[in-house]
Amino acid sequence: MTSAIETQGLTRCFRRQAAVDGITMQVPAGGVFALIGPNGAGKTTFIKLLMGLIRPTRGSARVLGRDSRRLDPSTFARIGYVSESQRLPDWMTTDELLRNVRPFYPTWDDALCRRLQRDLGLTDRKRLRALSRGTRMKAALLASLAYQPELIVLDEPFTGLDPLVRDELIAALLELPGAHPWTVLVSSHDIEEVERLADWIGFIDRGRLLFAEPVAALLARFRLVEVVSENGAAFAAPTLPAWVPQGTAGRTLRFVDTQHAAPDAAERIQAAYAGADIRMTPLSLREIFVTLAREASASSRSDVMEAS
Amino acid sequence: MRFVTHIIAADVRRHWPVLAAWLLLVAGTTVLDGVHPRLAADAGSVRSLTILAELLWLTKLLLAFIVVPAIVQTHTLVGSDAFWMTRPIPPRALLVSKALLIALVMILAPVLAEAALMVAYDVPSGRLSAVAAESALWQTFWVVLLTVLAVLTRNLAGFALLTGATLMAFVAVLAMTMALLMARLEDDPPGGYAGATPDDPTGGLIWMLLVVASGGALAVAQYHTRSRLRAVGVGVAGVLLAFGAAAYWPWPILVHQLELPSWAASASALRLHADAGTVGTVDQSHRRWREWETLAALVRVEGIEPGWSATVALREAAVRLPDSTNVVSPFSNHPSPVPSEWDDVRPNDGVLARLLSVERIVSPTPPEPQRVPVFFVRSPGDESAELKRGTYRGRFEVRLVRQHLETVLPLKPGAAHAGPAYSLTIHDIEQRPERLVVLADEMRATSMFDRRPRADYTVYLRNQRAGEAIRGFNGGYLESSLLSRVLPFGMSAGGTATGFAATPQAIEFTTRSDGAWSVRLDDEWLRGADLVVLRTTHEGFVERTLQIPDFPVPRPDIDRHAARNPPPGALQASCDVQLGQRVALMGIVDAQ
Repeated sequence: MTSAIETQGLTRCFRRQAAVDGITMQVPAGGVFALIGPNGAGKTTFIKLLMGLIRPTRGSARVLGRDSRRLDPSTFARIGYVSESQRLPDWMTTDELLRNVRPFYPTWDDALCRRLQRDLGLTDRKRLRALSRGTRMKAALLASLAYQPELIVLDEPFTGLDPLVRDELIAALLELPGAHPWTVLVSSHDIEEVERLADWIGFIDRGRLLFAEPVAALLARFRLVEVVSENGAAFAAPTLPAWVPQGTAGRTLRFVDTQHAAPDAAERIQAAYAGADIRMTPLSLREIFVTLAREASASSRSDVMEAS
Repeated sequence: MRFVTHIIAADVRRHWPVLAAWLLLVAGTTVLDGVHPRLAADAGSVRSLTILAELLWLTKLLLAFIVVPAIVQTHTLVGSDAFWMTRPIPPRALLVSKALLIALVMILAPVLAEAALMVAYDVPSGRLSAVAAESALWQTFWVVLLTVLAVLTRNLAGFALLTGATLMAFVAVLAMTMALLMARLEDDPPGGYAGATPDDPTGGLIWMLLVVASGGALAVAQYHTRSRLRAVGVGVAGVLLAFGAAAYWPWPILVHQLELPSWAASASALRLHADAGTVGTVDQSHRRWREWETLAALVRVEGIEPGWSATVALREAAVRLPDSTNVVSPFSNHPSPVPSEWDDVRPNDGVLARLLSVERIVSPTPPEPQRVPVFFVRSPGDESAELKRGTYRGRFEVRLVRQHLETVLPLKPGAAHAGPAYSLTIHDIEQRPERLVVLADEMRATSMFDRRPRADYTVYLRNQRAGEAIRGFNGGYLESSLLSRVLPFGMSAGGTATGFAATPQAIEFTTRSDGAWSVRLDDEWLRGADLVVLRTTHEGFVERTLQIPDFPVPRPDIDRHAARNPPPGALQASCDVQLGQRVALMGIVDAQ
């Protein structure tokens, strides 16, 4: 498997605060990698580091084989970048925007451009500044897809968009010509926004990458475990680090097993709660994300308490 | 190149309203500058157009502060959210496109407009090219400064803040420098003159070129790295280099070529003469200088050819007393005009009279003998102090000033002179009480690339039959004092003594003076009058020695003074340090 993006200990500090803290990861070529994390987790900073918009304090990143600090025009011609925080040339209409960027891309595909323009409903002749946020994002996406980039980097592209527009954008991405090996890195704070797209998921919190793995593996790894006491006796709290407590309701103890893909995962649970009625159900990506976010938050609180 | 034209076209589409406004203003101010002087006969129109021209210039100045950042910041180089930054736009193409558009609009257009104006005034092509080159250089200088501020900021607000901060820093540094200089002047004694050297704008040109290059290097660094720290580092290093190179530039390629006449080299020419009986003291007005006494004498230069006048400047002097004590003047002094054998009392009057073929030059002020400082000595502090006498020997620099007849015009509307660097057209003549006003259109075209010294032009009203001539003064219009002459983006780029300028002139010839010198400008007098334009140039210097036997020295503590004095060579070195500024503050008052 080749990687479109590779980072090694990538770190960026603002004053003494690390916004991105030693991230080492790979984005496999040809897939859709969703970078998930709460607001302020460091996703945008991470992506700006990849795009060479800011320089790393430590570590390095390679994007399409080039050092991110030395991305040249020929590399940018292979990357489509759309960001929520990007300042578009608001004085242009969509057509003017397309005419403006087109000469810079030797791989510009007029037919694809026209098709996407039609599919996204970008026929308005108003200037970008007069368009809704969703339409502006669609225009930005169009201007980044029409030259068939090898790598598409989307930084929070769906934030604040209504579901209809979001679906249109996702459809545009899903319906990209299959003959071309697209790699997509998309960041979001909401797993629901990207779960239809993603092959891989990376979870980032407080600048650290907590995990990055294929969606199928992730779904296989997480199980909600409900242990029901048949005689009303209380259970001990989950003992393994991989078991994330979810609380107790009446006679039922809940926790999430984060290592359920291990061959002996079920046996370990059975052994720990012998005689109890045990139910194990798969989690959705959203539930996994919420579980991890809560755990991260709790661990953050305990760090603070320990420090104090 | 394809990217460059594409980016320029996009920038033009984006900013066409301000670009069009700028070009219209350039065209408007050019037309106004062309029309304005030709309306010299109509004082009302001239004043209205002067105000309009100033308003247009002010608008142009403000617009320049908008056009440059607008063009640069369409593709902002600061921050990380600009759309273009993740596009495959080569930094070089972006920089070249911005530089080209700015150069076309902000430099080429105004320079071409000025060149068109010079064509209208029949300025010869060689001179036109030199003046246009200097204008382009100044325009480039200002534009590069604005561009530097624009590439370091994200938007117009940031640009305005940085510009304001830069101006305030500049004013603060200037104020501190002035304060230090003034404090030093307070402590310094009078006198001090470094000696004449031919004007040489080479250092200034090198400085300006290197500052422009530094600004360019800063922009290149910012476009390629988008790191303000690195870019500013490059810029600061460049400016320091510019100061160093300008100060120590060894090849004076633009030094003015002086035409020192061959007769001046002869020892028999340009002899200085003064009598001990004319020596007196002059008071220094400033309290700090009162410990020094300035001895001045009526010095006269002899052996000067017709058409020339002279100024003299004390370089070194010593008085040898009968007891062999040598008292050395600790200071040199700045040049002062001295009469020649052609002059009666006032320096230059006789020279001018001969040149204008008249008997006398009528002046509003009566002629008085003017003494020239020849020696400085520590004040005895006691007016009844004993005088000692000795033999004075002073080394003087005699600077030669050449007077030429530029043109003679009949005194009537329509009379015109068109020289390559100077033209004058009379539009009207008004007789007013006690004065005559000639309303004229004057053009000057000079540049720093001229190899000859800059000429001054003076206008005289002359009646050869009556044997009288009166010097004219520009008394009517405000033109030369307005801001557009000293600030950027005005005519001839502002701030320069050289350049192209076409201005309406109201040349006044006043007859108000004491009875002995007055002249009655009646119809009879004016019927025989004409207008003479004189061109004056400084043409170098020779050194001469002045000897005055029996020279009186007020008795200070001479012995101690003499013992402390350094030898003349060392003395000059100390004088060199003090050059310049003092003369304006000296305020020499004749003791008599």
